Amino acid sequence: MATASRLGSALKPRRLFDLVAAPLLFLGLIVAVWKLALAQEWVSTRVLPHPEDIVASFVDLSFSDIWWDDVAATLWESIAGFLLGSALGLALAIPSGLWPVMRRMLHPYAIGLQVTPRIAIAPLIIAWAGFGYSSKIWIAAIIAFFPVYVNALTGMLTVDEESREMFRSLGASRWQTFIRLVTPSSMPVMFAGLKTAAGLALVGAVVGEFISAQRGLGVLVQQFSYQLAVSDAFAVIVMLMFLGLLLYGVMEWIERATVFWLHDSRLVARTRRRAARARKRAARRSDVAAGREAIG
Amino acid sequence: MFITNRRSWLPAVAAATLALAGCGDDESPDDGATSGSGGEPAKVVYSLPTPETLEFYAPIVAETLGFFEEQDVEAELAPASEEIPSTAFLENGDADIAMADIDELVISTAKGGTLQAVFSPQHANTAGTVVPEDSDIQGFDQLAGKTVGLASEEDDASLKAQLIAAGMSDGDVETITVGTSGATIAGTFEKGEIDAYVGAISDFTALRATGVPLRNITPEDVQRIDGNPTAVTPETLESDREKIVGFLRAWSMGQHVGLTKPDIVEAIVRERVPAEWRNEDVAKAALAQTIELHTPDDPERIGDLRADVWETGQDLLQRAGIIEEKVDVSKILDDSLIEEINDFDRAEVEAAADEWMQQNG
Repeated sequence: MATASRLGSALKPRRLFDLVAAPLLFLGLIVAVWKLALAQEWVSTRVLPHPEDIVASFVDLSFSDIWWDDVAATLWESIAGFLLGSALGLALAIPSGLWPVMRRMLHPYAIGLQVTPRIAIAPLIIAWAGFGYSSKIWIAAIIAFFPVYVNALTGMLTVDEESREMFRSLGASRWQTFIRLVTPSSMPVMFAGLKTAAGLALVGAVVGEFISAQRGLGVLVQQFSYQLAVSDAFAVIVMLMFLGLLLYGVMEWIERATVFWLHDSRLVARTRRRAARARKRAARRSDVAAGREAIG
Repeated sequence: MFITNRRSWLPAVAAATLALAGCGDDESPDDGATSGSGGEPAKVVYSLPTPETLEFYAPIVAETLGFFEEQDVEAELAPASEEIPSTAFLENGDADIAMADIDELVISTAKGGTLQAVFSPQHANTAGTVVPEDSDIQGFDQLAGKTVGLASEEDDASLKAQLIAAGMSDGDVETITVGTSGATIAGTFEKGEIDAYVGAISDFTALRATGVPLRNITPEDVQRIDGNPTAVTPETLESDREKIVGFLRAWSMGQHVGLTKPDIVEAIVRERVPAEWRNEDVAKAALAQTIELHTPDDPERIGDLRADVWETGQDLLQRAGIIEEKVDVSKILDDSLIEEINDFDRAEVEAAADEWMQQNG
């Protein structure tokens, strides 16, 4: 019931208008400039097709069976790459945050990995992970790793010193400090990294598909570009944008659920739910006590 | 501050993802059966510079018409972009067979490599130089002082070879890297930013089919150089000769269908790679071009290795400064399999194609 209420609130006409009006207005401005550029022949339709042609291609491809396998392939590679890259990023950030010697050991290599061109290490990745999905997943993971690592580490290192002092003075163990203070304090910054990594994992998956793949949206955009089917190629790019928005939206939702204290409405809602549960428990206890008295 | 317990699932998911990333369809060529042992077809991993495409129609036709199965072979495509040298996959053992450029194989041999070219399905170059149809430039030797667009930095070697073949040198032309996007190539020609373009024939075909008339001015010597010969390691040739021959025989059978029944090949590739048929004109032109590319000098010796063409190619590489010393071409070429590979009943192959067309056409 609470979920239905929140959904209903989200779909209220006013709220919906607030959500979509600004982006749609901006889209309208872009389309107007786009049409002007084509009409004035500042750019050729071979390079930039008419927006309505792109929409037509998108609809046509959506109702055909040409691209859905590729969409699924790219989405799978992105999600798996994101999860793997995030897990690695957190796994290295945590010891780096706790022990300065680990930080000094790992930091240069993390940066080195980030700046190494993927095409240079692609043969190694393919040799190790093979020609299947794994190589694309690893390339996506490598690209997604760095923002998670850097943000998680930054979050851990920027915990409020006075709070740390308070935990020390209260006799908290290292583990208690890590769980009760460091982790929740670093989560907002960490989630910023995770949201960035979600989009980068998609980029990584497509980069991996350019290097070696049988299917995927990266393969499709190359096939369409070669044929000069530019509207179709742009339709693929639009689909990639939607996938990117989807991944980012999911991470936003997870952030709102996990780091609830950052969002006033979530904090108030949570407080009300807890108060309601406490009242129910108190009511049940008094019913039980009254029942016992009656029996006694 | 209190935290939720929702994170307890994170380590499990991460571990599952790590396990999943290590799994998948990533068997190395040495996994599983080799030469059809235990009744299982022998697995052959072959590397091409593209994913499945009508440009390499032969394996698609071979798979669709059951020629691989007939040869007791299970073919697995390992695609990799052209920027990655396919010889690396052979040397790493990630592929049994790879298509590699002549210059790649010559350079590998010059550095002590032992790869063997055993089959060459394309008896013409897959790269070249084009100018607009209405250009004043009639021959390659008229490019002096002009600007040449390159598909990528790697095409610099192709350009150098053509300059030498035409009696010119590096400094005679300016170059800029344009990329492979047909739209960009057409745009740079229209703006006059380039006078000629060096790249893949497949790019020229697409441009022509979309109304950009082009003329090929590639020097004849360079045009004759084989496109994508097929290489293996000597170790694979020795230990898995039977499956290599079986794979290449099935490939030849597929190639033969293209030479004799191009309409059936069109029907097959339309079904297998529908994404390549969004622009019908380009697809038809590309298919006609690739069938022409795959037309052998002698139809009874599909995939034959022509030593004279390799000598020409090597000569150009040396004069371009890409290799210091020539290598003995006979060390690279091994045509001992060609007769076996071409030992199939061509009438039966054509009949199989006709039967497929009757059932699926």
